[in-house]
Amino acid sequence: MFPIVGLGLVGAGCSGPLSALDPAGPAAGGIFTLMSVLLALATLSFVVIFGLFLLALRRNRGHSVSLRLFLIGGGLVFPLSLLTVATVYAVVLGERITGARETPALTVEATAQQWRWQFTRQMPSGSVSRTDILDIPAGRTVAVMVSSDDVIHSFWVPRLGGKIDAIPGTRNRILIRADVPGRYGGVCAEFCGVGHTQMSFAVVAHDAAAWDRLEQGGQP
Amino acid sequence: MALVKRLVGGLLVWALGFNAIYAAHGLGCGMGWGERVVLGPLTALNLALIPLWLLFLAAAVVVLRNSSRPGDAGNERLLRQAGLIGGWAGIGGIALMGAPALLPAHCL
Amino acid sequence: MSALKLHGELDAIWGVPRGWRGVLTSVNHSDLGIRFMVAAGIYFCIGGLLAMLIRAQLATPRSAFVGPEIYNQIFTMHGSLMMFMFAIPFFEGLAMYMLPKLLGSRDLAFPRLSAFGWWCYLFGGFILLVAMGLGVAPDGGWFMYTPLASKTYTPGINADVWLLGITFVEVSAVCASIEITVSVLKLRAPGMSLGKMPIFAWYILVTALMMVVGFPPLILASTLLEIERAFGWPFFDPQRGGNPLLWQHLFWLFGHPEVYIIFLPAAGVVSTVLPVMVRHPLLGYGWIVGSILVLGFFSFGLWVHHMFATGIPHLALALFSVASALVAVPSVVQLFAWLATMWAGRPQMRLPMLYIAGFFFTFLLGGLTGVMLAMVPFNWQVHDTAFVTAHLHYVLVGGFVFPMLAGLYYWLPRLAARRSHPLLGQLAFWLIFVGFNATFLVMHLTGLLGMPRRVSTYESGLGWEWLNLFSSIGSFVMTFGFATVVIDVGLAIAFGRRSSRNPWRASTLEWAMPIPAPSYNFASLPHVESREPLDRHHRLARSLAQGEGYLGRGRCGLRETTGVDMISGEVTEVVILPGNSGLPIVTALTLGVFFLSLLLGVYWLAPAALLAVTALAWRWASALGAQADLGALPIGLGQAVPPHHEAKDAPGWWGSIFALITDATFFASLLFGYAFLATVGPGWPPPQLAQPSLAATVVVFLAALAAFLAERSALTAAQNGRLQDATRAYAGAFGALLFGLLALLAFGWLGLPSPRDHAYGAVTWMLVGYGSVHGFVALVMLAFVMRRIGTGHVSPARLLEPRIVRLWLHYTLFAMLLGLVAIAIPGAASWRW
Repeated sequence: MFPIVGLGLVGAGCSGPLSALDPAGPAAGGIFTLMSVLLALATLSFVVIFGLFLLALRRNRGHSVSLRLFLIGGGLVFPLSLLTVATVYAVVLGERITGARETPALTVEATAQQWRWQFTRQMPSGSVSRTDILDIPAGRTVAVMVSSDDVIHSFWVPRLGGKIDAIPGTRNRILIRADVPGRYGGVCAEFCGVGHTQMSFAVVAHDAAAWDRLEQGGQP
Repeated sequence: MALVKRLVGGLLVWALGFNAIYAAHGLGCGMGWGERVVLGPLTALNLALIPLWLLFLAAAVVVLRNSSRPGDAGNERLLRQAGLIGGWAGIGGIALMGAPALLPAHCL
Repeated sequence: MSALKLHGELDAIWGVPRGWRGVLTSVNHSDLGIRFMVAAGIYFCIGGLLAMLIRAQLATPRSAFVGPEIYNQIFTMHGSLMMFMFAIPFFEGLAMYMLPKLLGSRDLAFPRLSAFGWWCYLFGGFILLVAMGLGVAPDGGWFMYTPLASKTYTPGINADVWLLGITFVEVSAVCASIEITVSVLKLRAPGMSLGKMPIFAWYILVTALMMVVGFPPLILASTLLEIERAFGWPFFDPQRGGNPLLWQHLFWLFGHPEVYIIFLPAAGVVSTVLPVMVRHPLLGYGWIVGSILVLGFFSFGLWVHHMFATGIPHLALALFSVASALVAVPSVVQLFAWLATMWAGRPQMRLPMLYIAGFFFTFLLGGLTGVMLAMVPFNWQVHDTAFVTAHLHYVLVGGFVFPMLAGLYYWLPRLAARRSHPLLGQLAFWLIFVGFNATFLVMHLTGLLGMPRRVSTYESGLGWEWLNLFSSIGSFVMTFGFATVVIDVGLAIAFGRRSSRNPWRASTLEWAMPIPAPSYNFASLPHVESREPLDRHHRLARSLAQGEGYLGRGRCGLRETTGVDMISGEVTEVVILPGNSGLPIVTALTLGVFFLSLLLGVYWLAPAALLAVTALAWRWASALGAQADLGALPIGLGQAVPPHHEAKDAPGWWGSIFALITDATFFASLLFGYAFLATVGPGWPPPQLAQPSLAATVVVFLAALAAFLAERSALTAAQNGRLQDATRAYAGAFGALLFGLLALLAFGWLGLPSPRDHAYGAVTWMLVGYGSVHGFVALVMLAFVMRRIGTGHVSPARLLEPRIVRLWLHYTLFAMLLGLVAIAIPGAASWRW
């Protein structure tokens, strides 16, 4: 598997409007690096364990073994050391992406309904609401407060970061930032009924000038 | 009962401890302890979770010490070995799985 | 005595009547085990066909093969059938068939319960299949998340089919878990201590114990959701104080251990088959036992990793992330124990070993992506994408299907007395292996390129086209592989060479009996002195067949097997098992009426059906026991032990203990739900708290105390042979409990708010209902024990039934009082008379 995924990564196959392998913001970028590290550790583990399996098949003659080496070395020390590296890295990254100490430049409400997204932000001129399109300023951190009017949905913009569920009765927060202006695809990731497949949306990141125009009440 | 204690005593402590930490976290967030900073980066939630974690860690150590004491009646090698593994897993489980209690705790 | 004569004698006792009567009344574990496996195999084929439809739909973008309404039913049924109708029942069948043979016993501890479980599984499955045929199959995903599965968003019958059909099947799983636990602990050959058990029995024991506490949360969740759908009690409705996340917690509290419940038996097969294939006893037995115990525990600490994206605070996610990573360690220990065994032995690449190699490759990859998914940020990105679909198939096909196929080929001579042709089996392996990896390897990438799960179609231009096409082609190759297995096994059964008794030269007891297995398994039971009984004693099979072991002759037409001390394996009692009976199928049908009446909304019929089940349970229990003290019975080899109803640790006692553990887990899950809603439920505190009635509370407490004391004096009287006093005291306990039950209902009636307005009312009524149902059952049991004293089934030596009733009564009183306390604490401000 890993060679094939690796091939996919170097080939043109890794870009795409919904590709997590083509990150366009700090959260998605951090996760992409984490994924690469995890893939490397996984490949190492696979080569070691399956390699031992193949070797054992080929030996085909009884041998005395050091059970201690196998069970304590292979069964405990080996996985524990790799897991510690991976987990510490992931927890630290998770803290950073959660951004408890971060103050977002803008807060947007995202309300999911079967089967569309309603994005609302407070402007000096009053609240502005759009369906299935979320306008954000490029290069700035935006807090999206995600909720739902009916069933559970999930807000996911793969190129900007992970997902967060839209749950009725709850307001969840996710921070997103697009490094460059552009249009980023998003989908509903949690199964939500017959319209689940169609429930996609877009995040449009505007450059500073365009964002100012929007702030003044201009149309995008 | 004796069998349960010897085989999985440490793991039971782990189960209690893990659930207690998770429950205390849920309760603390419900009460807003995550927003009250008390000491440097630590919040009131940390002050609830860290002692709980250490308490169960100590309990797991005590269980292991008791179960590895030799001379139990009808002691079979297997039960001793499996009990030791369970005891160490209890300690390791609590120690590692509870370690996130050391993070500056918040409820986001 | 000659082996043939002994066979005739025992077969007359243990045999099954010919024809339909035998099919309907058999309680034989070999029959039922094979039935479970065959039925599960059929469900695997149905689930596989559904998977073909999914792959056909997704092969090309914008496919119009099926619409989303049908597609949702297809993937929901695929997941539900594979999990509940294939994986769990298949291993139950294997365990039922294999355990007594491995443990040197003649049957399982509760044969009629096995049969009852089988019929529940069959009838529950019919509900699902009929619904699918009528086009009203469940369509909310196999995880049935609320509120999507609630009445508002799934108004049709689809969700009810899932909730009721699956719960019906779960009854079978719970029965099997208790049955298996007690059988492994109590029904072994004399001398087989815990440390001399075949490793497979350890795996199955841990699995069964996990089921004892793993299934109740799901049964509770299904019950709550069905009550919400049927009667409007808002457990999961956020507008009325419920919380949709409560469903997810309860579901995954079951759902994650479920993965290990499926994996452990398969790992048990590997641990059994691999040493035979490499011609070396398993190394690290103690380490393996230790690590599966650890696995059993840790697997209950991971459920939140299915909920990383639900907005749970990151600190809590970190706890579960570490737990999810650490759970890999005991699995790696097992991998290395197997590697060490291979290293020490001389591996032979025979057919089962080929499938084990497939297991190593596939499961290893699934485990590694599992560790990746345990890392929170990565999980946020790929959760609910095709990456997870790929991962879970690597785990389940790698961790269950490949080992089970290895087991199938290994035990085929044992099951069918025939050998298959290795060439077809090898062809099947390569088709499955190549097809599987072609399907799912690339699916990791599909997920990383952003394809979510459960979408019925997709646009072109997203980079997913060739990946999906590739997966679809691979899945058809894999199907050919499975079809080849079916053909191969069919050919082997029809035309295969007859197998010798021990074709692999294995050393466990299942090969020490004639093939196919006689109805009684062993003509006499061995004395076990090592983990590999056949290794030291090559003539064991013949000597057992000649009746040279324990219980080597029929006694008064009784079905006898040995019961042992759980730890040391010393023989403690002769367990007398019930014979063929129509009760299991009749009871299962009656229970089916209960589930159907709920499904079709004929609610008046439901309590009637439950009363009928109670009456049948009465008859069920009446068929056991004895009316005279038998004392120590000779069992051969110079030993004599009493029958089980005169022994202290009878299987029925332990069965009650584990049944109560299941029950208590259900109750604990309910209390967890109550605490969860009170802490995080939107709309709490509720607008109206309970106003507990002090008078009713005091009456409940006093009545409970009176019942407790009366039962105490009753059992003491029975111990001293004063049976009339005992009956009188039991009558007192009955009266007191009846009074307490009425007071409990009055407590609810007087003080609790309506269950429909707010989740608070719904949960508190559930607590009252739980106590009341238990009160009713305890009343029936008290009446039963009074009747049994009257019929002479109780004596100072035969106290099993009174002791079991005590167990249930104490639990009932505890549950009633704890429920009251749980309601009263938050409502304490508004006490009134």
